[in-house]
This record gives sequence, structure tokens and C-alpha cells, in this order.
Amino acid sequence: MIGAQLPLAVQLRESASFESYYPGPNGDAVQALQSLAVPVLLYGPRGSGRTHLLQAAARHHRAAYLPLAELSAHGPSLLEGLEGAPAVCIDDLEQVAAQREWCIALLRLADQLRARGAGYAFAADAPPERLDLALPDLRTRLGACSRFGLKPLSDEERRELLRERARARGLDLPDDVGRWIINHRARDIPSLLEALERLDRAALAAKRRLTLPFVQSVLEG
Amino acid sequence: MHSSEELWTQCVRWLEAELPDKDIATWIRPLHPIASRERLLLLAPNRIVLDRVRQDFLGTIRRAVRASSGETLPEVELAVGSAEVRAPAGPPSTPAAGPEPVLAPAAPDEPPMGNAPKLDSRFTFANFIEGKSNSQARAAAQYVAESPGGAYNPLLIYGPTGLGKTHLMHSIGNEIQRRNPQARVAYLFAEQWMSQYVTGVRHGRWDDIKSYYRSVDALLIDDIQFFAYKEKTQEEFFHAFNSLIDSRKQIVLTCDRYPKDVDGIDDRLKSRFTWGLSVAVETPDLETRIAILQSKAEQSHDLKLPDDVAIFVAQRVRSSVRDLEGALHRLAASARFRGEPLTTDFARTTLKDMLAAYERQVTIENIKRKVADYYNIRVSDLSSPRRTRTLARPRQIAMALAKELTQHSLPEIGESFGKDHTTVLHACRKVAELREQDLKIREDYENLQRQLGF
Repeated sequence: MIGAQLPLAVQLRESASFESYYPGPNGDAVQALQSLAVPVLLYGPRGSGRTHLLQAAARHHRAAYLPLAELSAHGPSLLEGLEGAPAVCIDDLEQVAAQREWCIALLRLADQLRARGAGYAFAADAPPERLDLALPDLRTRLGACSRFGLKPLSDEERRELLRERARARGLDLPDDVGRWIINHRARDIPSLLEALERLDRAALAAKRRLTLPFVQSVLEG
Repeated sequence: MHSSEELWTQCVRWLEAELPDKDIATWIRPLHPIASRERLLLLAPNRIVLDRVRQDFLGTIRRAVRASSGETLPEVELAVGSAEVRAPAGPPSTPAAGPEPVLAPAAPDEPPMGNAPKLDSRFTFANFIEGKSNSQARAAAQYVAESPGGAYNPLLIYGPTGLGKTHLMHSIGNEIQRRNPQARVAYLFAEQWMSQYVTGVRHGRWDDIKSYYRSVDALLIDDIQFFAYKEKTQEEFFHAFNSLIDSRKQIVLTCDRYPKDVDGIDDRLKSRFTWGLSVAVETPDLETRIAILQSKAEQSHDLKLPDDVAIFVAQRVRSSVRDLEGALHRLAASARFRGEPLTTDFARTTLKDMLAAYERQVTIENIKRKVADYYNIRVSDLSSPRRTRTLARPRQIAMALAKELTQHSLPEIGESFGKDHTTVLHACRKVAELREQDLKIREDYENLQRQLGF
């Protein structure tokens, strides 16, 4: 009923879920986020998948998701009242790490969620030791988390990821094509997925399979 | 007729197809539904969420409700509040759901405020691991829990973050209530006292709040260093404090250092804080760290941590109990995921990033910066030829730290301070001696060690 009303474009939208995350070497982080029995801290550079994972965790636990890179201008009052949430996921800690009031608000939120037995996960672009936190108190709260430095995928894993995502779209991605994309295009995951999205649309429009010449003409044409 | 949960779950499902994931996660999911036949009231955790939802999503939410509800079409309303208490929305800058003290059992005359910090029932004396570093504090806490309002009033527990002050404070509160279920224990963070004062005054409710605090049996306030530079708050606290002490109600305070060393707190208040008994919590020794790891492994993960693994971790993670806990969580998670036994090799590989991060962080430059910060001098002063006591002491401490925490040779350390290696040697001996004799130097040294991650 409700599902039937979905516009086609929306149905095709990939959402950040655990299913759509290629775990590669980060399987233990995925499992820790799925359970969230103890607090989790993820860190890794841009494109390492921390945002995807954190959004997936938020979805899984019906948690509030707060990307501070976009929201920090609201000030720490943004966190008020969230201590009553079923779970909370906070991204981009590095954005507010140097601000004392934010540190206080974050550590109190962590304390109160913990006291209620509610789960929480944080993500930052660096481990707590290198975050330049305004308060050591927040550092110890982050220290209490099960921490995972997200590791980048190897080229082999990136190819596997592409193959899997292509399959999910009903496309067959031959090995030589996967290798060509990895060797010739930007290798970060968002770029790879964007390339796949373009290929998917082009293949549908031209009613073609993903052969190497076709892929080359789409991506370099 | 839907229950509010059901109706809202359906609406959210509808919205998920309509709005980007991120908007759902950030703005829609934090809303809490309360439905009746005529209306669906959505409680936002704070004013910021409320304003954003009203501005950008209310129309879409109304459409979702229309699509999801049956023949009766409830009106959609927004307010700030939480599932338990709905606080009236104040002006934009007002924290509408102000903090509220914990009361157990619920007292009829509690002030009508929003979400309160809760006493964490998992923190008890039974699961507090005792060692040399905290035995005095633990004994004092136990005494206070058994005889609140007695000889040790206030009880002040001080020491750096992450060493168990809060655990002891919650244990006191839990134990007081266990012994006397009628006892009214208020637990709050120092900065909450502050915000209650500000909002209380603004809404003309400060007198109620004040008299509430004067009526509790025990008042537990965490992290009083956050009172610094809030003069008006301090003054009000001073009065409440005196009145509680006069009526023999127990006060328990924690602070991240001895209150005399906190800048920006009134001297009268500092002296009041230490009127009763002040006890320090220090960094646990190796033996205690091992015991903490093994106890937490059993409690949190139902896991028997092999001795050699516990020793391996405890030797390397020294700065705080929370860090020990984090290391343990990570080990347990990865061992479960990979189905591997917990060995020291496994711990070394799994915790590699964490342990390396500790080591990487300590450079001579970093030590100089921290020491200069700590003593409020310039980094260049540490390498200057001047020998006044105010510079010489920090310089010696920095050298001793460099010797202890880095692998650099004495000549290298000397060079980075513009001195030779005999000066470094002398400094190390001097500091070792002073740490034995001078409590203040010992505390400074340990604080710096901790700030450097040890």
C-alpha cells in the first residue's frame, strides 16, 4: 500500500544501511555498531566510511544522527533533551573538539545515556589523542568507547565492492572493467559509487551491457 | 484507532520515502509522539529541533499523517519536551527542558523541571576495585553512605578525570537509598546548578528550586571545577551549601583537582569545600589496573580475561580507568567477531592503533608545550639560561618527563633545552627527590604525566 506509492527515483536511492556497507577489514566495527551494547568511537579520514556506518547505526537503532560539520553553528543546545533518546550517533567531533561548552555538553550527554543504559556512537577524523580537545574529561569519555580506526579498503576490496553494488543494481561488472575503473578513476568510495550510478543510468538508456569500451566511453566521454 | 507509536511509526515509514535519510535521522527520529483521537503531539528534544521541524517538515509530516491515519484525522502539534515530562517551550534562548534533580522515591514536591541526570545503579561499592590509589577515598565514601550528615561533611573527592570519582559518588547515592528508601538524594552536575540558577531566575522560580535543594537529605554535585568564574552561581551555592551543612544534610562533591588550585572560585567557597574531609583519587597502580580489567571483563562481557593479557594491557594503558574500559571493550568485540582466543598477540594486534597513539604523542616538544601551559610560562622560557625558581622548576620537570616518557638520549634531551646532559641528569635526580618530599610537585608531575597520556 504505502510502498506502492513510492516514486521510482526514490526506490532506487541507496540508503546508508549496514547492508549497503562493504565491511572489508572493518567487520568488527560493524558488529559493534549493530549491537551498541557498549559505546563506540569510529575514526578515520574522509571517505573512510565513518559517516555511512554511523548513519547505518542510527537507522538500525532508531537513533538521532547529528553531523556536527553541518550543525555545530546551532551551539551545544542542539544536544539538549537527547539524553532521553533511545540512542544517539554524533559525527564530526573534530568540528567542536576545541570548544569547552561543546565538550561539556557532549560528555554530559554520554554520561546520561550511559546511566540510562542507552547506546551511543561517536565519529571523528582522528583518534581522541589527536583531537585537541578543550577538556580532558571528554577525552576519557571517548576513551571508554570501543574504538575502531576505520581502515581503507584494498584495491581488491574496492573491486569486490563495485561488483557487489553492481549486482545489487542488476548489473554484471566484469573483472577487467572493475580493474579499469579502479586504475583510471578516483578510488575513494563515494567517487566509485558515483561512477557506478552513471554507468547504471547510461546502460539503462543505451540498453547496453557493461563492456570495457562502453564503460570507457561513458566515464571518459 | 492507532496507538501513538503505531501511527508515528507508519508516518516515519512514509516520510522515509519522501525525505533524505539524513533529514530523517537528524530531525524526524528525535521526535517523540503522543497521540490522542484529535491530535498528534510531537515532542522535540529542544528548541532547535522544534524550529527546524516547524519550518521545513511540518507540511510533509501533515501529509504523512493524512496518508497513515484512518478515518479520524488528528491535528499535528509540536512542542519541546520529553516522553516523561513535557516542559512548556520558553523563549528561543531558554533551555526549555531544564535539568531536574533525581528523586527516589519520587517526592511529591519536586520542582517541575525536565530531564534529570540519573544515579547510575551500576555504580556500587561492591564493584568498585580498591587499590592503594583510592582506598582512602573509598573508605570515606562508604562511611558517608552509612552515616550521611555525620563527621565527614562535606565529603570532597578530588583527582583527575577517569579515575573513579563519579563511581564513588554514585555508590554513595545508591547506598544511601538502599539503606533508606525514603531518603531524598539529589545528584547533579555543577554546570546544571548554574543553568538552573539562570533559568530559575528568569522564570521567577529560583525560590522554589532553592527551597527544594535545601530540603534534600543528600546533595551530590559532580565536577565543581565547572563553577569557576560564575560568581552569582557560586554565591547562591554558598548559601544553599551553608544551610544544608547547618541542618546536617550530607554534601558530596567531586573536583578534578584540590579546590585551592581551581582558579575563579571564591576563596570562601574553596575553604567551605574542604571543611569536611577531602580525599584524593590517584592513578591506579599496575596491580589495581589488572584487577579493574578482570572485574570489568567479567561484569560487562562475561569474559575471563587471561592474566597475561590483563598484564599486557594494564602495563600500557595507564592514564585512566575509562581508557582501560575502552581497550577491554575493543578486545572483547574483536575477539567475538573474529572468533579468536584472547592472547597477548591478539591484544597487541587489535590495540595497535591505540597503543601507538599513546607513544606517538609524546615528543620533547609536546612535553615542553604541556609543561609551559601548565605553569603558565612560555615554551622559550624552558630553554632560556635564566635560573629563577619559577623557570628552573618547570624546566627540571620537563626534562624528567622527557627522560621518562621518550626514548631520547640524555644529550638529545639536554640539547633541546639548550643544556648539556649533566643538567638533565641533575634535573631527573632533583625531581625524583622532590616528588618524595613535596606533595605539590608530586601532584604536578602526575598531572602532567596524565595530560601526556600516561
